[in-house]
Amino acid sequence: MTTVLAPVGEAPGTARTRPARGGRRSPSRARWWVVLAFLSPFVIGFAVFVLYPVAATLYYSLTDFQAGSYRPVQFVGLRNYRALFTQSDTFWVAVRNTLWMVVVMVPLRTGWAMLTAWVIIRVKRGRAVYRTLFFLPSMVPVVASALSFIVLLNPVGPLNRLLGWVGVDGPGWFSDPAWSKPSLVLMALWASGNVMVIFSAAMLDVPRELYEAAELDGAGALQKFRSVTLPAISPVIFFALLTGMIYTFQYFTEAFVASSSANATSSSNDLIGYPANSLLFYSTELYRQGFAYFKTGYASAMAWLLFLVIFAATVVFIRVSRRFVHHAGGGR
Amino acid sequence: MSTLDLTRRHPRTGRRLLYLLAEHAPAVAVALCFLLPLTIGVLTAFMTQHQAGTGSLWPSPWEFGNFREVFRAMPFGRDLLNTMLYAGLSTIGVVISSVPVAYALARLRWRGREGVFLVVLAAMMIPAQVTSLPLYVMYAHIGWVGTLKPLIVPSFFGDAFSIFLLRQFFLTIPDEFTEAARVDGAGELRILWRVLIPMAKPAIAAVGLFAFLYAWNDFYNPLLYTGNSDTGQTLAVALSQLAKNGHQNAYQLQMAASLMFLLPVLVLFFLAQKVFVEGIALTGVKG
Amino acid sequence: MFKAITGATAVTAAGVLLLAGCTSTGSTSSQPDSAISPGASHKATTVTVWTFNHLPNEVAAFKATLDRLHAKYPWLTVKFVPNKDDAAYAKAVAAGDPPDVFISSTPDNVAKFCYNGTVTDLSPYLSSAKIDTAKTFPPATLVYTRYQSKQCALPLLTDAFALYYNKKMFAAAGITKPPTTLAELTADAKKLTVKNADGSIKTYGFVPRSDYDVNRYLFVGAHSGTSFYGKDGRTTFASDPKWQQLLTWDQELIDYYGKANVQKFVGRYQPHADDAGNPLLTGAAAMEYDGEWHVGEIATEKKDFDYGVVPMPVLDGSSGTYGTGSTLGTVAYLSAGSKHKQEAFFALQQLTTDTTFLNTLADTVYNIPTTFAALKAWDKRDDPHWKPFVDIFENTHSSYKAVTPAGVEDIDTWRAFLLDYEQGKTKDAASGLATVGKKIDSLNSESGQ
Repeated sequence: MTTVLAPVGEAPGTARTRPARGGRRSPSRARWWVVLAFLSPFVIGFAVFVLYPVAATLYYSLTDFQAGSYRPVQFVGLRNYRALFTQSDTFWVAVRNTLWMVVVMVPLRTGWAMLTAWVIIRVKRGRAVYRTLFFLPSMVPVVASALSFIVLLNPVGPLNRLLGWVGVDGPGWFSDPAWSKPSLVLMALWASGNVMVIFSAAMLDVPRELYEAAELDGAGALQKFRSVTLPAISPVIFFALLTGMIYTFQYFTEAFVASSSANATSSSNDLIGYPANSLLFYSTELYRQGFAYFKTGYASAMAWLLFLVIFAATVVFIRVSRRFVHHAGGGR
Repeated sequence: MSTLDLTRRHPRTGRRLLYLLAEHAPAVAVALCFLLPLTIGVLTAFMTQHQAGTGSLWPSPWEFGNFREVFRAMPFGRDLLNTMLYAGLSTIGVVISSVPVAYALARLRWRGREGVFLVVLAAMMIPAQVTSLPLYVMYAHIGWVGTLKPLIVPSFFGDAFSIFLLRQFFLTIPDEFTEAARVDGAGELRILWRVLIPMAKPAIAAVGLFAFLYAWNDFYNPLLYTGNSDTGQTLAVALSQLAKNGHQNAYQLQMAASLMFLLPVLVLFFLAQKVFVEGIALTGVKG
Repeated sequence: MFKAITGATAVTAAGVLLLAGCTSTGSTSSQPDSAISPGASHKATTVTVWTFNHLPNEVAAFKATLDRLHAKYPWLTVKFVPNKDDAAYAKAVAAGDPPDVFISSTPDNVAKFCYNGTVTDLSPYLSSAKIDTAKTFPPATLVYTRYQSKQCALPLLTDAFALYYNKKMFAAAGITKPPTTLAELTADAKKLTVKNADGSIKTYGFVPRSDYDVNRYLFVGAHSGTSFYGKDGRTTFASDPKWQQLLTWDQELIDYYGKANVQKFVGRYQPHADDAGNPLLTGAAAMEYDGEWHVGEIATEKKDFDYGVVPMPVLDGSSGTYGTGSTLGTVAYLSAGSKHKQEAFFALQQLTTDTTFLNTLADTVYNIPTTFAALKAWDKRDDPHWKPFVDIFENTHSSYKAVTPAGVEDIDTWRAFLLDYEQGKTKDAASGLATVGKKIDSLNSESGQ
């Protein structure tokens, strides 16, 4: 990149009077105040809505701050963290549940999206119709889909009735601690249309020649998938797994709504995690501590830990995936 | 007659039918899985209180009054207005604030550009939970809790995901277009407005649609800031509370309300399908 | 460009220091803490009252009384806002704009609000108004409205819990007398259990699982002759062997039906505890532990249902305590951030001590009035379904548990342990009890007790 010194002291917008000779600045550096002007929304937004809260969360986590309390705030050092690790059962339950979801739901969802994408591209006519149908559920507001799954998976509801017709005794789904998370996984699979769309686009992008070459080598369908399709779509797999993982670490709405419907007379805050804390995830526990109990300092410790974990997990994930992700044609 | 008979009697049509079946069968099977929950939901919206939630698969009798009943059971109109305000205003805010930032990141050359882009990427990953506690305290201090302001105002300061999308798109536009304008002596703002934005209409549309969808479906933030408000609730939160305000287990009302909540999104989707799908492809396929 | 970032960081640092120093502004008011006498004239004031109630009939009952209040004391206008739970109240306090009076359904938070200074100590107002709490309110209500010799809240209606049973099923099974001990309860439950032809259970005698409906109040001490906290404020789970006996009873009855069957029952009927699908009403259960509001619900949902109410059986060996029960209720606070404390206390006083209001509200929401005077005048106290509850409430040994600044966390921890035990995740009752006791104790001391 050659650097040509920009004429100093010229304000943007006076361009029309500038002589053409001196006006060419490419590939030159833009003037810093122009850049700043364009960046300003993000800079202000980042400072106020990201930097400040993240720093403040760290600060709160070292105090016994309780929003709404009239007691003076005291610095308590690592006491909140110690309480989280050694004295809180619910913290570890939340961690376990969240990890369960990450390990189970994210790969399943990615795999299902891949499968449905593959099903779709097999269809030659009417593909758009199927694509619409598969994609639609991912656009439904999460609250609405959670409520309709609660109706569908009612212990005496439609799905169990259908299962009864084939002689299967359906489980309690959302009401049974052993089945509540799998029910959420089902819901996630149903709403995976947006990931499917990306997969189908990527699969269609794979050059025909690669498949033909593989066929010449005598590869069967499965071989072709393994040696041609998978590497070609590996960036998408990586993307889907990474974003799925980040999403699941913050998993909130589905769990909150599913639990709150268990009993009509208890308030939603009392039902967080129902049944039997099986739907107690990290962010719903955080919400409960921070906005139902208003133990702001304690919840901030949880929030800060979440921040660190997501950061670390992302870095590790990217490092590990570098070995597996195949970038055809130069990559980034 | 069975397909086998067909194949024997009319080999060509029979075989074609078999191929058709093989081609469509898996897709149909998957389609049924996707359709089932929504279908049950829709059907339940037409059931009576007595029948809803009992496992019945078909309304009998058909109850068309549930939709009207929803308006009696909750301030649906007001919540709808709040939701539209939130979604509409924040979409506008996201678009007008993210475009310039993406422009600076993609079309201007300056030291530290990649660094700031990394910051944008990092901002995309920060979960709402990490920032919501201090933000809540801050909003409480300035009296914004209970209003829609904490939901709308931040969107006027750039959205990391939208910036990312737009930047990716801007990068694909060849230099020649902007260089020609620069040679003509145009300033950056003019280039952005006259050259890039018209070319980036699909990407901007996608960004706007995503922002609208995100705000329409948003549950966590409205729960925090207007969840207990008398006047500021949005549909997502109000819907989740519908079953608790004396309408215990009124699944038919919940489903009717959900359908009405869902409708604008569906309409938007059908009108702008192509934009959606292309927009999603933008996020994932290339780096 | 890093200039911009450094600038942003500087702003951030300033912001953190500035806003982090903010706590809710304390009540710096120099308002008198004496009560207004009813006869005195007063300048017109508007007092805000929030409550958790949201059902239309309850809201209507409140509004009617507040209208009467306004008619009687024209200077007092009450702005009434329903459907606010404790979290909503805490949010308002955090925003610096709390209601003057707040009526809460969670007495567990009394000590927490008191400790945090969120609510005012009512003692000076009460003594100025010449109200002797011990003579006005039954002792059970004073347990959960006081903390460290402060009167943090006043009781406003209460709940009591007892055993409901299906009289027809009792007759069919040949049971002439309702059980008075838990062992008898188990025996009767087994007799009342009816199975379908395919072996599945048609009618459960009694399902004790702690997370079903209000069964958690079976396990807070009143029915086992134990007390949640001892005199030293620490849990008694490890030291009192009766807790183990209680858990053993619980486990035996659950195992009789099988854990899977009990899970099915709870999963199926939990959402229907308060509507016409309640298992007692549909015949899926012969006996049920429930609160007094259920009487009103049954009257609405199944008027001719033939049922009886008796005090909940107690642990064998504690028959001396038969007739007591868990009692806890709604409480009314006076916010420390209120700008009209005197007027607010006046409204509070009327709401919690006016006999007509209490009884009307009690009739509407199917609760029990909370003053001696109101109880004496209550028209329901001799109704065969209501009398057992009134007796339980007036029994001097009925209680809930002492409240701590940990709010609901102590009872939530206890409930989580109970469920773990009932589901077989914790096998050893003794060590489990010791562990959970220690946990709750450290929870309390962490919270400032």
